[in-house]
Amino acid sequence: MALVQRNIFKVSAILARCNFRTYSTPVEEKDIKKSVFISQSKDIFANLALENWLYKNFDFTNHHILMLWQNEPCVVIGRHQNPWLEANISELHNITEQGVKLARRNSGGGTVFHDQGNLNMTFFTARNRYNRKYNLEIITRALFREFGVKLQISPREDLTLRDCKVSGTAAKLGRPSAYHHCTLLVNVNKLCLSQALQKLDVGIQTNATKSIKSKIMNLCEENPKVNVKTLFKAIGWEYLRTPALTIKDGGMELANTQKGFQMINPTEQWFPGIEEMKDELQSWKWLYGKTPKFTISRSFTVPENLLINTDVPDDLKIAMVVENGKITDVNLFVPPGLVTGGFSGDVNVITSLIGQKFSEDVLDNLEWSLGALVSDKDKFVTDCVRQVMTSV
Amino acid sequence: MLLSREIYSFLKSAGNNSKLIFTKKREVFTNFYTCANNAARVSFKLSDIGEGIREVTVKEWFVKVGDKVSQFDEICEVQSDKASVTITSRYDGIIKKLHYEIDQIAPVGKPLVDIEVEGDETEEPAPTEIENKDKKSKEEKIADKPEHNRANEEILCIPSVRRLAKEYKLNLSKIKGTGKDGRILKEDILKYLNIESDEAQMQIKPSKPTFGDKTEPIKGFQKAMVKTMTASLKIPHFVYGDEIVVTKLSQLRKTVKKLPQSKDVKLSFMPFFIKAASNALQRYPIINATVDENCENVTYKTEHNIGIAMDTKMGLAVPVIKNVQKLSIIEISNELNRLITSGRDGTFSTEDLSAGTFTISNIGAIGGTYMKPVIMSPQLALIAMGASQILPRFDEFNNVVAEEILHLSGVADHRIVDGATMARFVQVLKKQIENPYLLFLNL
Repeated sequence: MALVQRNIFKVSAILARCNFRTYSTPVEEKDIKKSVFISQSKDIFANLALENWLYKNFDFTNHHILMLWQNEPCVVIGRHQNPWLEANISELHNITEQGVKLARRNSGGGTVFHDQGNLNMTFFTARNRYNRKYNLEIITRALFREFGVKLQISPREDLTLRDCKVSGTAAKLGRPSAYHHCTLLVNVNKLCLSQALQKLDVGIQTNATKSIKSKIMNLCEENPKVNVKTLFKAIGWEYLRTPALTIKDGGMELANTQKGFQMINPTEQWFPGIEEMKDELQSWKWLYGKTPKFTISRSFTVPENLLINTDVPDDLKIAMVVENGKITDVNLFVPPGLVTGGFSGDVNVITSLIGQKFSEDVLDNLEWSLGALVSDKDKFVTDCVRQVMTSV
Repeated sequence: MLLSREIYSFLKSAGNNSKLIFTKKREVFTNFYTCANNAARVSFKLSDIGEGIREVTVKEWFVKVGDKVSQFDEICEVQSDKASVTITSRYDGIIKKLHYEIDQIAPVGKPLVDIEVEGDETEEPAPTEIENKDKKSKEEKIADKPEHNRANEEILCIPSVRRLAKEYKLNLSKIKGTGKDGRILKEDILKYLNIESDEAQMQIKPSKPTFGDKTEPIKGFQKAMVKTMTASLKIPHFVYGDEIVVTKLSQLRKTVKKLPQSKDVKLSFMPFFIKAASNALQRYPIINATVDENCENVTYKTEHNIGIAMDTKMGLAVPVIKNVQKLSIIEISNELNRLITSGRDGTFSTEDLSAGTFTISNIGAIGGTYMKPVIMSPQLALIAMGASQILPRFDEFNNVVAEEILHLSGVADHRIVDGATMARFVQVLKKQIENPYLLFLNL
């Protein structure tokens, strides 16, 4: 009965489908066939690129797809989010041996942490067949059928268990396709997760989508038998045995009429154009440049030896406006005690920051190009600016 | 108000993807005179997203006021809770107003953008005042000859047919309409695409191949071939052929093979031809040049990087022997053998496959006499050798003798290389092969 096929994936068939669209009659439920794609890659960028490729190039009118994937440790932020606000960027490379990667996905929503204890599922359909509730039902039914675990669906359409979040969900709708993807915390390293997503208040004001933190738990805490491998099969079969538009059990008879499981290798050979998408996803322009405009402000206490007037201890406040990942404005609120004498030299350091990327190496380049900074005051101000960038 | 809007350029502001920049135009106008009776300003409302969502936040605009949009172009990205939705335009027209700023909340069912929809295509273009100001189009390849464009006149067709044409990337002006008033119908498009206009057949019939048929995706070297050959199509080729008497070369080769120091060396005709070609290229450097895409600059290359077209197990590959002008025939032969081995294994490095300036094809190894090979852009010329045959010829005493004859077909880009130059080049090459001692003299 095994429908697991290591078939050569007929890209030509898919491409042929891309060019044919049904214009006349609406598609009937019985005509929609389903496949389960299992990605062979554990690279977040390759998988996101694959997701994007399918979304852009595949015709889902008669063919719904469930993509199952796993990744090596990474933090994935939503499309309109601010990475500096959501993740502990400066520390990511230190968490776990290989470091934690950072990626920005195409769909909205909040930030999630992936590792090999996390299962990702993407449900692809045509735009007019998008149904998030249906997808979540499939997951809950699979978990119950296989492991006896009963999940609840929260009002925000998250999957919860005993009031703890076990899954995050996001969607992307376009013309003519749409997808809904979600995570499932099976056996995730909670320590790494909290380290990666740990955020102290760093003084960022923005309109970017902010993540809503919730209490989480792993499914394996509820039932130790739950693991990602068996879940692949459980959810896959549940998907195949349920008719495309209604939640009811079609049994293995229905599942056997579907297109079954396919192992997918997201390479350029099978998916022409995917390398370009992968490069774009890894580019600075996408990861950081897509950040909505934000202002970051920090105050620094001026050390006494630099103050002229020690009666009025005051703070040096630095506010940077960052648009598209680049600094567009820097404002210094200088306490009166620091003003006199040799301050004008710093203006060079500050104004040359404008237009630069918001990252620490910018400052190194500047310092080097300006030669040794002269006074302590200059050094102090530059140091403060550096702290703004690195402590974020 | 004056009525002047025959031609326009379609500009797509890049969101995340760079899409087709479409130019359907004669000259470019930036003055659009609004015409009260024909243009309709439509409020494009935010349609229902589904899931009972009542309002969304506008996150990104892909257009701005004044941009031209076509149906199904991306207008903006909105976000609702966790769903990120791409809103596409329902109309063709010009953006007149964006109702929301980024991060503002837009309720469903309320206007999102105002679009000035083009009037029906039945209007007559009446060119009154044409002001040719700065170009709005980013497209540089503007046809100099004014193309008579039906886009500005009557392309009648309903939106769904228009969409069909757009999805197949068809130019509507090329399709003949058979409906009322020359209207383009779906059947016309299907006929144009050579598909039967059968409703049932429009349904997806993916590859249910008949028994015995085999469909394979085009990938790897074959794909590269598709790309290069399509590019080569715009080069005007001319062929110059001649026959070369290789009897003496053949004898030389046999003699050299018998020598003790070259017993293990695999020596074929090719290295001789390669060296002869390189010598000839010294005399006619224009043939060893490359031309840029717009055919505006010719670069005379100092290195003779001669590519050898070979049939590998992955398809046609053209690995390159670098700096032939500096190599001796034995060195060329060794390098050639190395490349042939790589071809057999399929292990070419990118170095091996790049920077060629001239190409030689030994298709004659398989057979054949005359051929018209295709130049590999940006090179300017190529020679192909046919199979060698023993044929009767007359010698200087009018006796019939058996000579080994090889036909050579040379092809060149007629935009840069003229017939006489190519002819002389081939003659120099021929002379060296017919009298191999000249090959060594030229070293």
